[in-house]
Amino acid sequence: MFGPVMAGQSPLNLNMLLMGLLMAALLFFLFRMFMPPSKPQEPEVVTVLECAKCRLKEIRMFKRGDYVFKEDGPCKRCGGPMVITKIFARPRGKVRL
Amino acid sequence: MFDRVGQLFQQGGLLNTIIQLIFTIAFIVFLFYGQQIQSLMTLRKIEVSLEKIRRMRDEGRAVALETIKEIGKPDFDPAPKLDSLLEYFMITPVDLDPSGIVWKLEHLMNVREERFRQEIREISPKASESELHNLENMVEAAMALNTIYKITRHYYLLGKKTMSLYIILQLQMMMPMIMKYATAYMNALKAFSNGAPIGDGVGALVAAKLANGQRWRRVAKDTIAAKVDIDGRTVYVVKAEGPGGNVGKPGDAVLRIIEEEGGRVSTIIMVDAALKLEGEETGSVAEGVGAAIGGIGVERYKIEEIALKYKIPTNAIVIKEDISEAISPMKEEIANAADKVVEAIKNFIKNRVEEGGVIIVTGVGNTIGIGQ
Repeated sequence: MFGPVMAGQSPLNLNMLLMGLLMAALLFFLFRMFMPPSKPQEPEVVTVLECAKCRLKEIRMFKRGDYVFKEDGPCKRCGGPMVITKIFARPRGKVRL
Repeated sequence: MFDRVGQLFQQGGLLNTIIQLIFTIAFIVFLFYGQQIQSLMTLRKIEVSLEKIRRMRDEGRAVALETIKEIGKPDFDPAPKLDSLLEYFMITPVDLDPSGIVWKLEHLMNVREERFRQEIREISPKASESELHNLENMVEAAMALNTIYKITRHYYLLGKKTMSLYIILQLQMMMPMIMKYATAYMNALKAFSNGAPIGDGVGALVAAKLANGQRWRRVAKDTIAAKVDIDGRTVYVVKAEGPGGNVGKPGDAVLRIIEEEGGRVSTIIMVDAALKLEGEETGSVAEGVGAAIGGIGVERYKIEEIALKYKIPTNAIVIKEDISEAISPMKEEIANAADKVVEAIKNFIKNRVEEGGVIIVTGVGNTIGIGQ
């Protein structure tokens, strides 16, 4: 593979190249070992609400005090009770429902 | 350029001699100190992970303290009490003579739970009953993080002190699992502090969906049941009382309902989260037989005993998830699986239980963030 590049070079030159590569690999390994790894993103927790009358669905960020089957205010469309039907975690940045 | 530098490496050249010397020294050093060098490098890797666990432990303690102050509103500093709770322990009963150990374990667990709840109540006087359960779970997650940190540190220091490659390697091999558990407990702690449902609660979620809008009554400590009619069959749905973090006593609840029905129960269906194997899909549903309930084994023992006494078949439906998913905020796939399980239960009842039969459906798991 390296024929055209290394043509006429002494085998010692090849040794030197190999040593250089080994040194680079060692430096890379040490660098990786002491570098802090990137922190994975925490998922976001969302609450899904559904109107008990007209089935209007709403999704918002979870807030303390939310729980499944909790009534949470009136429906914007028909005034019926909005009930929390689901609370779940999803990857951050996912397209909203 | 290659030629010029190459001349330095010629046989008998100065650089060639130096390199040969370096290689010889390196060979001798690795021959005699190879193991120590490997130990030092492995220890360094463990140290990095241990530092991460320490940070998680400290962050967990800080979150717990903050939440206790915010929800419990104590008029004193709860930090010393919280620190003493983080060191809380339980001595399991002697198992030299295993006969009767289940009841000893149950007694011990009850004592532990009561004492722990009292301690949390003392530092959170303004918390409601359901918030108290959440705080209790949250402190337990902080305790778990503290224990993980202390045990890992113990083996790290032991390895460092003895420079035993075998102790160090064993710890290094366990490190990915230890980190996974620590991260899961950290996520659990945050979920408990907010009161969000966790993956383990999927059984309770199924029960709540199955008997939504029905009248619930308390059948055992922290455990409730509702009577539902499904296609002419009477179904008792059992779950822990939510929305506070709670697993209840499903064993006692099943026992009571069976006794109330005089043993005339066609089948017991237990729904729980089960640990998936790597490669299995999160939220996949599987059916089988037996008492699907985790924990220390006391509740499972009770259900198995009563099922055997009245010869009641016990069926299980499990929702597969990872250990970290079980104690982290419930994933979308798991929440969606609850609807599938509700349908599976309805189909099971319709196809396998005769009309007029009595069925007990037990939704097992922590009901945090799940009402009824």
